[in-house]
Amino acid sequence: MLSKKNFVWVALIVAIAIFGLIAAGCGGSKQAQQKNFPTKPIQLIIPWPAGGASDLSTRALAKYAEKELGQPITPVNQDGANGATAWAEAVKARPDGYTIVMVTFDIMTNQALGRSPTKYNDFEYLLQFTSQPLAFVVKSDSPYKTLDDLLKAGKANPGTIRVATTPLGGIYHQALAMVEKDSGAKFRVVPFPGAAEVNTALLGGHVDVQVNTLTLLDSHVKNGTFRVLAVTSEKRSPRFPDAPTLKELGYNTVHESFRAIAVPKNTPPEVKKVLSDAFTKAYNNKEFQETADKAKFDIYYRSPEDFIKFLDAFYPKVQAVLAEAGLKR
Amino acid sequence: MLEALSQLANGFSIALAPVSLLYAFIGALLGTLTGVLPGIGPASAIAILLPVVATSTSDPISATIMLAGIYYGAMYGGSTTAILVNIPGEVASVVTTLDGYQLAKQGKAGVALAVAAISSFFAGTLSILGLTFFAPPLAQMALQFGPPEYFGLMTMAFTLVIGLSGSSPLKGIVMALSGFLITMVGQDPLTAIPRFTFGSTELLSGINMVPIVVGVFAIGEILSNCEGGTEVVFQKINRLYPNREELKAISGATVRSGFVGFFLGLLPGCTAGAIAFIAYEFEKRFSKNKELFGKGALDGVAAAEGSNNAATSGGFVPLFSLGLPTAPALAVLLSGLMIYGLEPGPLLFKEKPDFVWGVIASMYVGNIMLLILNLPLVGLWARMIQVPYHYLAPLVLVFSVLGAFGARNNMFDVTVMLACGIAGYILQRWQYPMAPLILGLVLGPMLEQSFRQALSMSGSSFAIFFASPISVTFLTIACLMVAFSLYNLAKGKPNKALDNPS
Repeated sequence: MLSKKNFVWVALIVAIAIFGLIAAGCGGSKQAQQKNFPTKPIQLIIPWPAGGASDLSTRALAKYAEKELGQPITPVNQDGANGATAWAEAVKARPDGYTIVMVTFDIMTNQALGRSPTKYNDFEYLLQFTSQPLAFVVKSDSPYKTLDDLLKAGKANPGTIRVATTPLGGIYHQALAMVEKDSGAKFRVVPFPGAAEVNTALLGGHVDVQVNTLTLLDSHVKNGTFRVLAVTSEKRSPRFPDAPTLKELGYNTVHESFRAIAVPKNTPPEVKKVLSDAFTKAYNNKEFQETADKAKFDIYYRSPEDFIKFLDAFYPKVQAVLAEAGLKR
Repeated sequence: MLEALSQLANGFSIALAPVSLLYAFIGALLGTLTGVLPGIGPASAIAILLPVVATSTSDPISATIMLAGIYYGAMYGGSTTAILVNIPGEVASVVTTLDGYQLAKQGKAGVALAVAAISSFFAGTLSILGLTFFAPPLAQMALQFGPPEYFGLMTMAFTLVIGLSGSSPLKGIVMALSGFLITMVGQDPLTAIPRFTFGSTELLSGINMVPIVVGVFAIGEILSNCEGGTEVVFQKINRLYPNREELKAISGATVRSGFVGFFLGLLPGCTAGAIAFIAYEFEKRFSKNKELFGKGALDGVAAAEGSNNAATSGGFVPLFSLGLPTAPALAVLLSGLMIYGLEPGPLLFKEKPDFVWGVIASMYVGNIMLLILNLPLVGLWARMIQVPYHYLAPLVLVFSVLGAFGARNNMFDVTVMLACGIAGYILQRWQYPMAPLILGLVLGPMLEQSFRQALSMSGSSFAIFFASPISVTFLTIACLMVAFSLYNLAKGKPNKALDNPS
């Protein structure tokens, strides 16, 4: 039996619950909500594990964006299936601006390989905020002094030089396949689950070459353990000014990964503008730039309009290289 | 050697500063809590706290002292729920449940918890000594391990399944292979091709190990305890702390697990779960009371807990000297260091000696703090299982659900956990041992990956496995172990000592 004291408690809880339900129901009309967007915290889905470079750079940017918005941004990590799980869910979110999502290059890989129901243009973008080139790296005692040495050897003895990349079809492997196609060289690809494992494999001498982002390379290059043969960016990287770009070497390949923030399609334009402005301001914040510089996030800005144009132009290239490599079904 | 000592002295002057002590204590405390809560592993705890720490202190030494404290503190805490209620707080603690929970049922929860803390402390400290004096050369040694060497090591580890199978090796092998099969669900980590996903997006990201482990152990245990309809009684606790004989009995196990944990912890391809299994089976071969393993052997608890603690400090060797993370938690720590503009790598020892030695010295301090923190808690924790089971069981269930959900913020994982609980319960009624299943889950991905990577390295020639002396050594041991077990079986004397009810 309920004692009197207990009854009072139960009654109180029920009352609060009912009040809460009513309050939630009277959330006001949609229009009113949009005008003073945002009125409540915004959820930011990050499709990668907490603590990685993708996660940290996104959180760093969000920290400054929430100051502009006046509402907290809560990052939620939902990793798995190369981002596909999180993107499939984010695309279904209500397009009211309260669910935003971080998108990386991998969305195009997933789409081109037919391994994800989500397409890159299912989202509308707020900005691109990083651009990470890849590098071709050997140990300093390697016989390959330049990229040409390597490619010549790859042509003379096709399929014998071991090159470590991340999983087949991913951007690291794509960069390698593009160079193979342009030069006619053929390599023996040894895939590893992630960038750190790729780096370890070259350090231990279990492969001859690695294709990797620049994140983990600095100290090994400074120490004289590694030599960077080439980078895949448009211009030379300020971190390795001695390493030529593929373009300089005569290969028409620019291949960089990116990070961007997006909202589901059909988000009202005024909401999108509020978000996009806030994130752009956050990007230009001096403190963010300093943090990014120190942590080597490779920041790079493209506006929503420029970015979607960039993606539309880039996607066919991804499709082509994967088809060429025989990975596309 | 001498230089290391003077550097270490310098490190202690940093680690013993009040600020550093405070950060080490906060780290140790948070780590213990992280270990106790299933689902929140040290990797996610460090990741969650990283932004907070980064804004609260601009000093990378303080920050790293605290984050490292969370990492090794979690290894202390992980044993608590494993021993008390059969929920492994971390995958590394699965092995602790095998003997720890049996001890708790026998009324020796306090002794088991204390042994876990004591062996963690001694094995951990032993391992920090290794880190102090031999870090750079050992890191170079760890680099010798490439795919063929890992394949050898993992094959050897896989033969351990025989020891974990109890009276029926066949059932053990069935369970290990089931575990192996489960790990294949999802995107293949090397080619990203979906396997066994049946078009489901949830399965595309694979089946996470945490919900399986929590389901099979915690939920399975609740179900079998409900069976009789009578109250489960843990035997009365008569003594909280181990006596002198017990301490003497675990001393060998502690030292051995310290060595095994440290050396395997150096290897970037060896996970904490695998290390605990290997140390446990290794210890079983040395132990005087083999027949007690799996039924409440204190040295079993000491081996499991000692090794996972030693492995954490072992992992700092490649991290500090080469910038290679050997565990998810260390990968997070690595990116944390980069926020501070520090770059772990070959130059760190030279360029930032204060940082390196300050953190190493703080690990000695932190381990002492953890021992002081954990021993008095033993009484409190041990009293927890005196709570009547009809109150305890729902609590265990709540924590299990939280743990399964928290690992990836995913409801699908909760379903997996509940399904595994039911399946685990039924399989245990049919006398299928659970430990080999977890062994399969832990070793499967590493075995498969290293095998396929080695073959891509060699252009599909099997000769690569016999070209490396390390790999040949491990494969030979594996063959000998299988042959020895087959011989024992043929003699018709299935070793009763290896009988393992879990």
